[in-house]
Amino acid sequence: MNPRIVDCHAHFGRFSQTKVGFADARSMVRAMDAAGVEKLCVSSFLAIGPDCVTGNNAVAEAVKLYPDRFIGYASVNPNRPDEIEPELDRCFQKLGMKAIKLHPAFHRYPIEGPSYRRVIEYAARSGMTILSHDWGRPEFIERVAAEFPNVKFIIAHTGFWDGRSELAYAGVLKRRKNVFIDLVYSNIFYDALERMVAELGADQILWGSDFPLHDLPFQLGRVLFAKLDDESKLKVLGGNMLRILQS
Amino acid sequence: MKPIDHAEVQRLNLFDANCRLGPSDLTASGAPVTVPDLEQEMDRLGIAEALVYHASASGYDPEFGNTQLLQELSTASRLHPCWVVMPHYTGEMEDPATLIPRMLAAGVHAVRMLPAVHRFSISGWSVDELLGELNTHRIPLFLDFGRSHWAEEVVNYDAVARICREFPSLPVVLVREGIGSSRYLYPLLECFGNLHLELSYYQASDGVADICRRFGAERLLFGTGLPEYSGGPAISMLYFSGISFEDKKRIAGGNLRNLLAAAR
Repeated sequence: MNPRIVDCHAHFGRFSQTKVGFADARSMVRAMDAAGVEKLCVSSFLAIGPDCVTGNNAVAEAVKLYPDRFIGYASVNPNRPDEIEPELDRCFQKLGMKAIKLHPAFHRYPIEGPSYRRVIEYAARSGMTILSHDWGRPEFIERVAAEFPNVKFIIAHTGFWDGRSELAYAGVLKRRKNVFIDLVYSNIFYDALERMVAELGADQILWGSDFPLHDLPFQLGRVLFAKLDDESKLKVLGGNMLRILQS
Repeated sequence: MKPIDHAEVQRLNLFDANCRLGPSDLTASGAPVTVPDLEQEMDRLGIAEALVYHASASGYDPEFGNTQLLQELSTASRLHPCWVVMPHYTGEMEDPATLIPRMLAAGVHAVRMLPAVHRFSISGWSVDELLGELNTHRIPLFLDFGRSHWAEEVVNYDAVARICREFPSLPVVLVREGIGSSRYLYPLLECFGNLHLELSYYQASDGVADICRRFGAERLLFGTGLPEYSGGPAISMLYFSGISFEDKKRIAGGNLRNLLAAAR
């Protein structure tokens, strides 16, 4: 097996709540090389927190330095709705971002609110991908995924699923092929990924790490050691995300 | 991609410091909770040995679970017992002067405390009689505060510092510390040479290498959290940590073997 490993959910910069080990582009690339990770899709901790503009600029700088290794997410603050479209225009027309990252929890703004509606409508105009820290109720993501079929929606942190209860978004994923889940989560429960693939198949599951908040190899170990066939691992580790980015 | 070389994993001689035996309310069906199933999963992952406590000792009653643990491990050469202990004042455990010699005679060289789960204080008036006995016999103390997420504030670090200071011969191992703990852990590791960190949940980026550089590899113990958690991530983290193979071997199992051998 020789997979292309593409991290659909990584970050850039420092993090207020704890020490971050690799806080600059050069050291991040060294860590990626050590673990065999080809590309990181990154949003800035600054941009999903207090300062979207400066944070988005920092991501753009990293992408400029390592265009083959970093893919930029544009982030916007829903609490400043008038700035959303201009900042997205700047990110996509000038900074070379490829997708959108939302963080309703940090910005303390409901995912179903009107500001995020503007973001989804913006994404729909050119068939973009939106990764959100969470998408709230399964009914909501199912409704917007049906309304905007050309937008790819990534539900972050579905790795929190412990494999015991029902997977909340399973029905949505089976019905809406433009909805994906990422595996990022600190706890990695025994056999949970294997159960997820058994239930959903591997086509809509994306590996992500939250690096550099989380250790890249630790999060990789979730897939590398999983009891899955090679084809499923190839899809999860990067094949699916490459397909999304190329579409 | 750089695939993991399983022969190199084997050469690390992994000794899992954080493993549980027996069914619990938290393990999914199919998880390895029996000795044969656990050993089979260890073989699949390349883990040579494991220090195990019993789920009934943490989730039901320490004396009951510790007894069950010895029974189930009677023919298991790769699994080593760790007893769950708590203060004796309520009469639910023997007094330390009786318990510890009996424990050592049974071949048990490590203990685990779960103060949050078992609802007791780790202040001096509660645990010092027990800790004094453990300190005398240099028995490693695994402190488990029941953390389920890195952002939880579940650990009383002032109390941990007091224990490390008052009992300098006692090896103290914090288990299931997460990425949110670094700003607590670094000064503790700086101050107290008897403090160790188990790695099943400590996935700070560059964390293993950074702690090795600052405090030495002897402060870290490989652990998985099996069978509730997957064993692969902690192996992968150590494997790709970028530290020397000798330091990897210390963390993988050398440090734990030394701690267990020193208990007498």
